[in-house]
Amino acid sequence: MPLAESILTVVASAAGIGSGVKDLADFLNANVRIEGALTDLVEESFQERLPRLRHLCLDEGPTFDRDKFCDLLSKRNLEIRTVDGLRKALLPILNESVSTPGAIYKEEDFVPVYESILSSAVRGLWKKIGSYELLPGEILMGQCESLLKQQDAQLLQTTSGFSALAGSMQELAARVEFLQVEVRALARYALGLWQQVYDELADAAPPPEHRVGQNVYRNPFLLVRAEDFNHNYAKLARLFQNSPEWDSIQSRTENVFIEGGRGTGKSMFLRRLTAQASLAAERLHNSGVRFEDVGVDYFGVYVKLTRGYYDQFTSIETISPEVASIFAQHELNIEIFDAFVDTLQWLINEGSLPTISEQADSLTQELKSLLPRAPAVRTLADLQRVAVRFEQDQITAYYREKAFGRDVAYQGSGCETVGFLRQLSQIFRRRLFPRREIRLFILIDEFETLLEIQQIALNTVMKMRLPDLTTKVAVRKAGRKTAETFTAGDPIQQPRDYTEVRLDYNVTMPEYSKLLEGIAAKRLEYVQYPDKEIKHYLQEQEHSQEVPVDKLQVELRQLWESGQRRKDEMDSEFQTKYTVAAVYRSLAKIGKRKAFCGFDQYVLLSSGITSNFMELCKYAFYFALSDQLPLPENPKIPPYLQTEAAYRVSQRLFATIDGNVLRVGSALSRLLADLGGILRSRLLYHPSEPEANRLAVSDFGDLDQEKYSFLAEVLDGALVWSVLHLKSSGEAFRPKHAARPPNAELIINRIYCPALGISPRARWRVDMKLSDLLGLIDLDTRKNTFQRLVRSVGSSPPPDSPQGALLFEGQDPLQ
Amino acid sequence: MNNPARIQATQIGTIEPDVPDDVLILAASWEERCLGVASRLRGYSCKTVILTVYDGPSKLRENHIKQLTELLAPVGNTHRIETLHANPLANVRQTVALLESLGGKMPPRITIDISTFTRKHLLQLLQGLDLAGMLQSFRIYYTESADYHTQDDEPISQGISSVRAIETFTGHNTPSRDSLLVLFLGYEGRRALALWEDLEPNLTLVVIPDPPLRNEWKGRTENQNKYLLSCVPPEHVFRSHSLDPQDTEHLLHRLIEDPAYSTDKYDYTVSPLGTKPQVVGVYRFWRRVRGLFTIMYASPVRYREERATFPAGPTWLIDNEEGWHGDTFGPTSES
Repeated sequence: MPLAESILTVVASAAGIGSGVKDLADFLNANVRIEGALTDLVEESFQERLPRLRHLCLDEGPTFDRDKFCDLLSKRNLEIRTVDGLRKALLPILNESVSTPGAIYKEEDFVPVYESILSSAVRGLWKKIGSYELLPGEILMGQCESLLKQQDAQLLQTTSGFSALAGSMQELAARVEFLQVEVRALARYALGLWQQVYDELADAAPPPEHRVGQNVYRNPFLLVRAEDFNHNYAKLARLFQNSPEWDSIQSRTENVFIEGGRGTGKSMFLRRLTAQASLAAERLHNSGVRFEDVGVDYFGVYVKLTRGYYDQFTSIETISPEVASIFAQHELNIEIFDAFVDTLQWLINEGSLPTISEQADSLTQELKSLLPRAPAVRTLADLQRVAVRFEQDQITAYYREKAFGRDVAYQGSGCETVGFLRQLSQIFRRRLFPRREIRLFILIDEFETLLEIQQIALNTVMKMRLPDLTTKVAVRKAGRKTAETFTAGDPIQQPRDYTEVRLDYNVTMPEYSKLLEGIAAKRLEYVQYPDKEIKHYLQEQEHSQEVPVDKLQVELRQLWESGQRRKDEMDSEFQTKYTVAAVYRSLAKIGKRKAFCGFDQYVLLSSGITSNFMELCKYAFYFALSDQLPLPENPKIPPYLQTEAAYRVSQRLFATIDGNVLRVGSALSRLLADLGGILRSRLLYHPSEPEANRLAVSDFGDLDQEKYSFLAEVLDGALVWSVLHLKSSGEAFRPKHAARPPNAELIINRIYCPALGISPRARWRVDMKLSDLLGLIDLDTRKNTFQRLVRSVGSSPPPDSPQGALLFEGQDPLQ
Repeated sequence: MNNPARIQATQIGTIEPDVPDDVLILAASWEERCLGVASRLRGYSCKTVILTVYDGPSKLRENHIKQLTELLAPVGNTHRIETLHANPLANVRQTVALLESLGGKMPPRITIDISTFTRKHLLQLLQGLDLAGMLQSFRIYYTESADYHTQDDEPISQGISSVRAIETFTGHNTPSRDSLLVLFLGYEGRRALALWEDLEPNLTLVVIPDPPLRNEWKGRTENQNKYLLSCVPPEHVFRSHSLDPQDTEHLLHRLIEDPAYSTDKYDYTVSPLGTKPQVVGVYRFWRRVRGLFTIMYASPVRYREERATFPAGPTWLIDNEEGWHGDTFGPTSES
C-alpha cells in the first residue's frame, strides 16, 4: 500500500476521518507528494546526523541515496498498524538507501542513528501534514476546479444538457467542502502527534544519564541549583566558579548582603564560604589537611532558612507582639545554633579539628549553656537531637495551643538574637581558635523569608559589629523588609555597616560570558567530558542557514521600502541593523520559527541569570544525548536541537510564572503574553524600529498612586521574580523602601522571548504609559487596549498579510 | 467499624439511632457538592447545625446557602459562622466555643461534612476539635464532585497567593538536616509544581491517589503532574487510597519508619494537595507524631467558580472515631 494510504488507514478512525480516505490520499499524492516530502525530511535529518555516522566508518563518510529511498518508498508495501509502526517500517528502506563504505562497526550499531533520523523525519512529516490546516481553500478549490473542467468537458461531449452540468457542479462543491473538513481533521490530528513526540521530551525532566550506543554519558548541567549539591561539599568545591564579586563577598570583616533574583547563584556563594567547603576545596589538592591549615581566615556556618516557615511566629489575637518577637528571634537562634553544631560535628568527623575533638565534652556543655532550660546533654549530637528539638517543640506547642485559645506554659530558653549571637561568638573565639584570627561567618540564606522582627535582629547584629562575627546574607531582590535596628532611628547603612553585592549581570559584559564559560567548564570537567569549552558544543549558525541570502535580500528590500529613509539606497549599515528583523519576517511568512543557537545566543537568552543559561544547556545536552549524539566524542549540538531546547525552556519557564509569582502570577503571565503580542506585531511590521524589547514607561513614578495599586503589585512581582528587568543594572529595585524612579525602562526577561515569538534584543525602545499596562491587566479593558497598542506601539500588518502571522505560535493572548 | 472508608451513604441518619446528634458541621460553597450531605439526611436531627461561610462574593454560594438553609431548617438550629479563606483559625475558635457553650453530653456527637472546607481549614478544624477533646464520637462524610475540570491543567484554582506552613501545624525545622517533602498530588498540577519549586526540597516523595475516586479517572493525576513526576525517581512515587484516611496515615507511618527516610536525617514537610480524605489521613498521622513534621500549603489566589460547576457525586462515610485513639504507632514525638 503506498505511503499516503498506509498513513491514512492508520490514523483515519483516530483522527475522525470518515469515508474520505481515498479522496484524502488522492489529495496528498497530488498536492503534497508525500513520498517526496518524507524523502526530503529523511535527507535533511541524515545530513544533520552525518557526524554520528562518520565515526562509524573508517574512510569516507556514508551517503544517502535519496532517489533510491523515494523509489523504494513508492513501491514498497508498508504494512503499518500503528502510528509508531511507521518508523519501524521505514527502517529497512533507509538501511538499503545508505551506503557505508569502510564501516568499522556492525550494521546494528548504525541502527540507533537510523532510528534517530527516522524519528526526526517522521516528526517532521506530522508537522508538515499538520500545517495543511492553514492551507488556503484555494488549493483545494484549484484541484476541484480542474476536476470540474474535466467533467464539464465530458458532459458537453455527451450533450447531456445544462441541468446535468449544474447537478455535477453541486456535487463537486459538496465534495470540496467535505474534503476541506477531512483535511482539517487530518491536519489537527497530525499536529497533535507532532507535539506529542516533543512533549515526551519536554514534559519530562532530563534524566541524569543517557545510553548512547554502548556508552553511558551524563548530562553535565543536571545540577543547576545550589540545593542540588546537598551536603556534598567536595562536589560543591569542584564546581564552584569564581566571579568578580567573590573577593568582596568573602571579605573577612565586611557584613554583606548578596542580592539577586532567583538563579543568580547567591546560595552557591554562601555555601562556598562554609567551613566544610573551605576544607573540601583544600583537600582536593591536599588530602588529610586540617582546618587550621586551610588558608582562610573565616569559619563559615551556613544557615538555610525555610521558605514559608516563619510566618507562623507573627503576633495573633492570642499571642502578644512582645512574646511573638522573642519566639521569632529564638527560632532564628535555634537554627543558627543547630547549623553551628552541625558544622563542628562535620569537621570533627572529618578529622580536621583534632584539638576540638579532645575537648568536645566541655565544649558541648558550654554550648548547652546557651539553651539553659533544655534537658541535659552529653554530646554535640545530643545538642541537636535533644536540646534543639526541645526548644523548637516548646515554641511550636505554645503557638499551637495558644492559637486555639488554650492555656499553656512555655518552658524553653527563649531570648533575643543579639545577646544569643554575642555569646555564641564568644564561645567560638574562646574555644575554637584562641590563637588565630579566624572570624565566625554566619551565612544566612533566604533572608527574605524572615519576619521583619527577625530581620531587625540580624540588622542589629550587623550594626553592633561584634568583634568575632561577620554576617553574610543572601537575599532576593526587594527581600529586605527593613533597614531598622533595635535602636530607634539608627538603621544600618552602607558602607558603614554592610556592603551590598548585586548579582544582576549585564548580558553584554564580557565578564558575564566568562563566568558562564567557567561554570560550564567546571561541569564538563566534573562529568569527564574531554572538551571543556562550552562554545564548541553550542554551534553557531549563520543567518543564511536560516533564510537563503536571496530571500533575506528581498525581505530587507521590503523593509527598506516600507519606511521613509534619509539615504537613497539601502547600504550595509541598514542591512546590519535590520538583518535580524528581516530574518524574523521571512521566517514568519513560511510559518517557521527563529533559531536560537550558539553560545552568544544562549548568553543573551539567559538574561543575566546563570541558572537560565544552565537550564538551556541542560536541555540542549538532553535532546542531543536523547538523539544518540555522543557529545563527549563529538562535542557539537546541532542548531536545531539547541533551538528546540531554547523554545522548550522558554515555554516551560513562561508557564511557571502563573504559579511561581505569588499573588499576581496569573495577571503577570497574561500581561507578558499581551506585551509579547504587541512587540511581535512591531517586529513583523514596523518600518523602522522593529526589535524593541524595551518598554520606556515615562510615568513610572506614578505607580504609587491608588489607581495603580494592582498594577504596582504586578510589576513589583515581575521585578522581584526577574520576569521583567529594570534596564539599568546598577539601579536597585526597592518597591517598599524608596520612591520609584520617575521613569523606567522595562525589559522582558529574554528567556521568555522564544515563547513570545519576539527578538530578545532591546535595540529600540517603545514608549508606554502606566495606563496602557493597567488597561492590559484589567480583564474588562484588555482586548481593546491590546488592539489599540498593536496598532500604535506595534504596527498593523499590511492588508495582504496572513492573519495568523500577527500573533506568535500557539500563544494568542486574547483567547 | 475498623475501617469505615468507602461506605457509600445514600441516606444519612444520626450517630446513635433515635438520638439526635449534638452538632452537624458543614461549609457552604460555590460547589454544588456542598449540598451532598444535607440532601441525603434522612431521619436526621441534631441540636445545632454549624454552617461555615467563606469570605468573598459568590452568587453560586449564596444560591447554595439558600438551598442549605431550606434543607437544614428541619434538622436543627443553624448557626452561621463566617470565615476567611486566608485565616480560618478564628472560625475554629468560634466553632469550639459554640460547642462548649452547648453543654449537654461531653464529648459531643459530631457529624462533619468535609467536602467543601478548604484543606487548611479542615486541618485546623480537626485540630481545634481534637485539642478540645471533642473528637471522641464523630463521623466524617465526604461528597465527591461528579467531575473536575482537568482539560486545561488548571482545574479549580488560579495562581498561588502564598506557600507557607499552616499555622498550628509546624514541626522541626533545622538547617542541619536535609528537607524531605511528602507531596500529595491531585488535579492541580501547576499548584503542586509551584509549591515544589518554591520549597526546593532535597528529597521529594510524591503520593498519588490510587485508586482514584472513579476508575475512569485513573491516570489523571499522573497526567496533571507529568513534569513534576518526571523529576522524581519512580521509587519515590507512592500511592494512597483516595477515599481512605487510614491508608494515608499508614503510608506516612511506613515512610518515617523507613531508614532511607529517617527523621534523624530529614526534616519532614507534608503538603496535602490530594483528596480531602487524604487530608484527614494526614491529620490522623499528625496527631500521633505532633511536631515531627510541618504541613505546608499553597493557597490559591482564587477559585474558578465562574467555570463551575459539576453536580454532587456520591457521598461517602470516610472516617469515625475508631482507630483515632489507640496507640497504634507508639508514643508521640512530644511525649
